[in-house]
Amino acid sequence: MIRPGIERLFRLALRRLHPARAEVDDEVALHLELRAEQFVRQGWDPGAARAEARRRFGGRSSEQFLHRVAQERERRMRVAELAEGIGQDIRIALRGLRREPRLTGFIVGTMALGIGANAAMFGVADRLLLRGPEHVRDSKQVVHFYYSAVRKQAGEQVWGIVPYAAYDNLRTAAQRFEGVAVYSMSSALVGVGATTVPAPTAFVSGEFFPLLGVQPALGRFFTAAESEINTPQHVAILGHGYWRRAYGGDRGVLGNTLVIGQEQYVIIGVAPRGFSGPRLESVDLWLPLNIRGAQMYSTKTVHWTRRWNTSWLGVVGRLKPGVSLAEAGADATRVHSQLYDGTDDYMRTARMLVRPFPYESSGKETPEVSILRWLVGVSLAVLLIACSNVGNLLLARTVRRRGEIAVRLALGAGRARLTRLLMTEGVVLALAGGIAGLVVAYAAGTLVRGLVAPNVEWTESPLGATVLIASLAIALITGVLVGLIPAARAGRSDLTEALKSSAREGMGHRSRARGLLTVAQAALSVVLLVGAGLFVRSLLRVEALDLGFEADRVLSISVRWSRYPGNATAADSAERRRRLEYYRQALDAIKALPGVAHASRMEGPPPLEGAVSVNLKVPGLDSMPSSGGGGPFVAAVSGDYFAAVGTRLLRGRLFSPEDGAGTAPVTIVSKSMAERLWPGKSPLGECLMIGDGDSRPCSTVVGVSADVRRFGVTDPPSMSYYVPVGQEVGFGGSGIVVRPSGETAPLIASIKTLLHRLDPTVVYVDAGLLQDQLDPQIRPWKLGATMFVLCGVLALLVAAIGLYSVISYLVAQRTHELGVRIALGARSGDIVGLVVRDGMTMAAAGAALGIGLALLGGKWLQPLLFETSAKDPLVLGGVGAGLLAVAFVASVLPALRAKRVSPMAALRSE
Amino acid sequence: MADTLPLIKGTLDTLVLRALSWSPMHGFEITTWLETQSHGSLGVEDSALYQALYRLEKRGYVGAEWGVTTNNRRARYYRVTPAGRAHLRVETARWIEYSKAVTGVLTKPAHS
Repeated sequence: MIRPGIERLFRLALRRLHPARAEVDDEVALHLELRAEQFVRQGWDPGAARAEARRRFGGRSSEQFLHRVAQERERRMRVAELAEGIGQDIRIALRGLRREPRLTGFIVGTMALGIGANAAMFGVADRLLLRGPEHVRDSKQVVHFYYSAVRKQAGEQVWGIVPYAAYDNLRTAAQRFEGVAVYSMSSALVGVGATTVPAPTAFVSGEFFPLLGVQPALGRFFTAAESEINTPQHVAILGHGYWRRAYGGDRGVLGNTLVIGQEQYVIIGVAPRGFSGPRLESVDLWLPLNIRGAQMYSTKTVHWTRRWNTSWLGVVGRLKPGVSLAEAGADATRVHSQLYDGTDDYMRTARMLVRPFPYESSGKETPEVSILRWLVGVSLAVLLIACSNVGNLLLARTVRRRGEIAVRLALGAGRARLTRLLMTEGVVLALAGGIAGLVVAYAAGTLVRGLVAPNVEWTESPLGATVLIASLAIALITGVLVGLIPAARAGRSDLTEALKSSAREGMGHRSRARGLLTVAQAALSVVLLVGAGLFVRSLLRVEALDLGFEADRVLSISVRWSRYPGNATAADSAERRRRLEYYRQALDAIKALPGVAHASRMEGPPPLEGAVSVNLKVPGLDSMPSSGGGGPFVAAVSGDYFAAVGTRLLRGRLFSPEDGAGTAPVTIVSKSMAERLWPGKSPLGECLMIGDGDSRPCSTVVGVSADVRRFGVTDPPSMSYYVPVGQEVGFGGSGIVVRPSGETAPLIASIKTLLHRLDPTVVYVDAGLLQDQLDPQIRPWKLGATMFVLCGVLALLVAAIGLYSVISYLVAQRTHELGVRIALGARSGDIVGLVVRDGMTMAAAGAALGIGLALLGGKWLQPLLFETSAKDPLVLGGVGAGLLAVAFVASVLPALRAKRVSPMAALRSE
Repeated sequence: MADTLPLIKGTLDTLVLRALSWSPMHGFEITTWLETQSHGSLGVEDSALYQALYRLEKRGYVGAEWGVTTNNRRARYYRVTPAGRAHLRVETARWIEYSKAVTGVLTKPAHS
């Protein structure tokens, strides 16, 4: 019996020469040969022996069977081998990475930041930018209507809050829309007695839900009868979040009643989770629009649906298929021009526009959304920096491993195999980074959600499926990317050269790739830091802005009753008088409270809470000049008002307690109003004719006050004037402003108690700092500043470490050369200079490139800044200098090490 | 070879495993081993043997590797895997039981 010492042959190599078919043929051939030899030994003729062997083996079909089985086997082996190979690569990668735990930790950390930040940002952007409003069917076809008109001196004005009549016209005559619906955002008082709370409420027309294609989570939406204009039905739909909070998600809630504004409503449905209609705010209650219209806007003369002087609605429509925004706008404009039946020339000539659904009522994207777009870019930049830094470190590692790689190549590992190994390393690192990045993603997601859209009802957790998938995808892509950088380099490396010179490299031999990556990192960091600088400067400017009053020191107080008295009946008039009297008493009582420095009654809203204007005529002027800030706006105040809100009196006198109903009409005008109406003259003693009709009396100007920004920080100061309480004509809206002398929170509580005690029919007291109105306005800059600074500093840190590692690496590489230089008498200063110069060259190139990029990108960032140029030299210069300073430190540290190179040791290490 | 017994279906696999349980062999060695052990009374068609080997390899009962014979010829050597050994034990026991039963039935005197 043949007992061969089985010699293993190199399976891999042989199998390439003999694929499955050939192997089978070889095996069969050997069998036939041996069988024939057997017959020959038994005395057969060789030819006959071969024929007999063939016959005994059977027909060709048996070989075909063997071929098929063998090929199948080979396929299975290939897959198994690939899996085994990859498993081996992963083991090699893990072993290598464990050997250098500090490097690995740094790389994983960097990747975690980059991947986590991007996954989080993707989660937020996906919801706010990409996916469109939740639950809205085919949201690309849904649009919001706006008016646009050009006002002299103020330029084009766009607004999206319109009267019911505008909607009524569109509904009856517009042809390019499948439907039109309206909504009005408001706040309704829910509950009875002391438990009454305001709840964000949307009043909507009957077509609203069907038009958007929303399905209720429970129950139903409004029927046609419930939405009928003249038959208001008290039915309510709960927002999903409110249903969960107030009713614990009880499915038996349908048919229950709810007290809203002291009236009973029947709950008929629950809106789906996360649905907030056209705005990024949560909505607790959805009520029929007709209730609000009848309550608020009924008058004796004109039915509320045909009034043009009350704008309170947003209009949305669904485009017919194939209709462009321009065509739809032209259609709406045509309807408006044909059917407008009001008296205002400005309105008559206004155009109508339609814009995509999620835009704000001003027709512009909210700054938060614009900033979100930037944040997506910023997080991508951070990821790029992280990638290039990791690529850089891996590259350095590859160079350190030149010996190992050369050996692997020499032993026959293919280039492809080597590339696969390096890519596996990259992917392993990136996946580890991706997993660690989930922590970052959760934190960043929570932060960004809170900052960008605090009122959005999020249906997915910050680590939801979207974010998880995004993390995985980003990790895989970055893994392959960072793996490719050293792989490209290793693929080029010259075998013999590498084997020979693993210890020392020639002096001019520096890695251009590493230099470029470092420059790119520095440039991106500069871009981010410039963004940070610009936002911080904007924020400082905003916060330092003189609004003309001290928003953080003024409490605005108003009282809500259950019903708005109309002006139809005698009882209504009596109720109005009673309420005015209530405010008079309330002011006296508040003034008597401890902790109150100043307090004043007001008719008309305080700054930031709105503005009213009435007809006004100035003797000697044909028309009212206008200013960019709008106006003139009027408010009726008592003498203590200016001290209470902190608006300075520039000339003349304040109102005295005697000024009021029945005394000589007087007025105080703001500085810019005085300058426009009576340029170059003293306004004191001039005359304003306030209200309608020619018989209106002359209000004498007795004082000039500082200018005030009525609406917000980005508006220029508006023209304003004040009259004493009691002399107001044709406007109202009572309130009280209070300046606390100490803590505000306890004062708010005692004021609320007091106002409820004075009149038990009071349903709710609104009391808060004017600053509360301001904070949402400042939020975009705060958001931009926070995020850019955070990302910028991170980027700078990562780039600095990158630079440090590159310089250290260069120093290590040039030890021999430096040793020779020192031996030849170079002073330590020369050596340090030599090394630092390398670092500074890269940093300077990065700074220049970064500043160039920042200048290019500036024109897109400009609209988000406040009184700051995107080319602000201070910011650009400061960031450039800052980068150079950091780069100096990062390169001086390794340079000092270079200085200590001992020439003997360096030469011996040869 | 008219005087050889036809092989009962399924037994060839067991016989091949048995052959390989001694030592790794290539295909022709297995054939000769079977012929020697059965003194030429078992008729194994050559191609059927290879089909059995490939089948066993697919099921993981044997493994194969290329090697060289003592005459320096390249040959594919088969060896039993642990799974193959277990299979052989089970099949052997089954065969013995089966043949006992069949023998019992056949040798029982009719209507005693």
